[in-house]
Amino acid sequence: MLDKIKQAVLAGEMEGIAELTNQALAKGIEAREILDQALTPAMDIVGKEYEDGERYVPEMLISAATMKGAVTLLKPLLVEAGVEARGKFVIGTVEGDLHDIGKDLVAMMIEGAGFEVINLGAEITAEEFVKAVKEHKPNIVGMSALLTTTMIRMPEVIDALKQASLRDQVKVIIGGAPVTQGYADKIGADGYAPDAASATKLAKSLT
Amino acid sequence: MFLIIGELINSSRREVGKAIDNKDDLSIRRLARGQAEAGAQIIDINAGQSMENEVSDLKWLIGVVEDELGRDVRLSIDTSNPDAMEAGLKACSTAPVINSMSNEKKSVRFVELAVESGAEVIGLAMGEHGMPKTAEDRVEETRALLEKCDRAGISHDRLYVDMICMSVGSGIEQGTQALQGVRRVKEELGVKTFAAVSNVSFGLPNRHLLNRTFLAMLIEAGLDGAIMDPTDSGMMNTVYASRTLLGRDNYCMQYIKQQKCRRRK
Repeated sequence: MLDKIKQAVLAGEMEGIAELTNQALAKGIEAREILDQALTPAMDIVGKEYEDGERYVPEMLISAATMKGAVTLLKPLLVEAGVEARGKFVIGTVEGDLHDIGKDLVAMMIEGAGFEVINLGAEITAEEFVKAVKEHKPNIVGMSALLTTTMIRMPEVIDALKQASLRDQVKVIIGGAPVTQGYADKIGADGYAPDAASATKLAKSLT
Repeated sequence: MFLIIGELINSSRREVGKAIDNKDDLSIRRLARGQAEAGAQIIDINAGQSMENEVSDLKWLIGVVEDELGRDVRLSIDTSNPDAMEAGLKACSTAPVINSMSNEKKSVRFVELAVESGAEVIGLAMGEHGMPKTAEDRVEETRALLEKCDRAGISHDRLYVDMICMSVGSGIEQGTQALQGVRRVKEELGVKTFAAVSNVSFGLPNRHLLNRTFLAMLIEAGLDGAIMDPTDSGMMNTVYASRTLLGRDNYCMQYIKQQKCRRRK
């Protein structure tokens, strides 16, 4: 049963996933098991295949949407059972930058890895990042920028977190076309990822 | 005539980034010459990746490309940094193109630079309300751009409006929305339309096939120009073939000339 769910996520069978999930629950399989042994492993494979160039963006999106179909059903049960997410992840594209496709991909993949994700959207100012960290107390904050002119907002957000005495409570990871590992080191971020799959690995390694 | 801006001299491409770092002018000359010979009327110059050295690297690139091509080819200055734009425009000896100006708040200085320089402008149909998703968004963003131009005294014929192509890989309706955007902007606002075609295929296999097929569709919809790789013969052939088939090439002369040229090579 769990393998069936895993295969459905891999194949992106959005229509059948709710029924499969309900069947599994009816058989007495716990929500936690479905998450840990079917959904998360499936998304791990999706991420790896994308990294290896075997999977394309839409194939990743359809798997993520399928996973979400199952998660929607599992969420209330997980909350009821007191199961905690792997961690909390706040993500946004920095101020002045409207690009959100890559950032949304990262959000989806990290959600697939079992994190609770708070996606702030695009054009997020330093104050908004600080406010979200105060409010949600995430383990990790992710920042995205697609332009060299907006990438410079990233150290400003890190500074703002420092000034609010929040920097040591949260890991900061960054990504986006012009961003490099060197830049992450330079501005004192905790990590850099070139794509959604690597970002997921990075997030896991930091929690 | 369909406007072709050659996109290859962009610092985010590894080859160009390396050439800039090493001040390897031969590589830049080769890229400039190759694009001009392939039919680009304008060569795009982007040094955005240089960060704090953007202004000096941009000037260096302009110097090299102008030295290579003389006054035959124009340049478009591709930056979102207003200081770099100002320096770039001043460094050009032929009429440059501003690439680009949007409806975002930060575009104020770009409008001023457009007024001061009298340059042609690539305007992005985005920024008033974020990224455009639908054809309607694209029309509204274009309307806002035109109002901005009117207030500043920039005549509409100096403007090419970029319809903001986004990947069908992350939204299957993005192709049709951009196509409808082109049609509606042409019809309702009568301004020239432009596109960075290759965005449409991001994240998908065989991008060349999608890019040139989409280019043909955009041209049919009325597209007036594109930024692309002119050395990609599939793309250039598509431009000429589409225009001929759509009756926009008198006696098919441009198509014939281009094909004869290719045969000789």
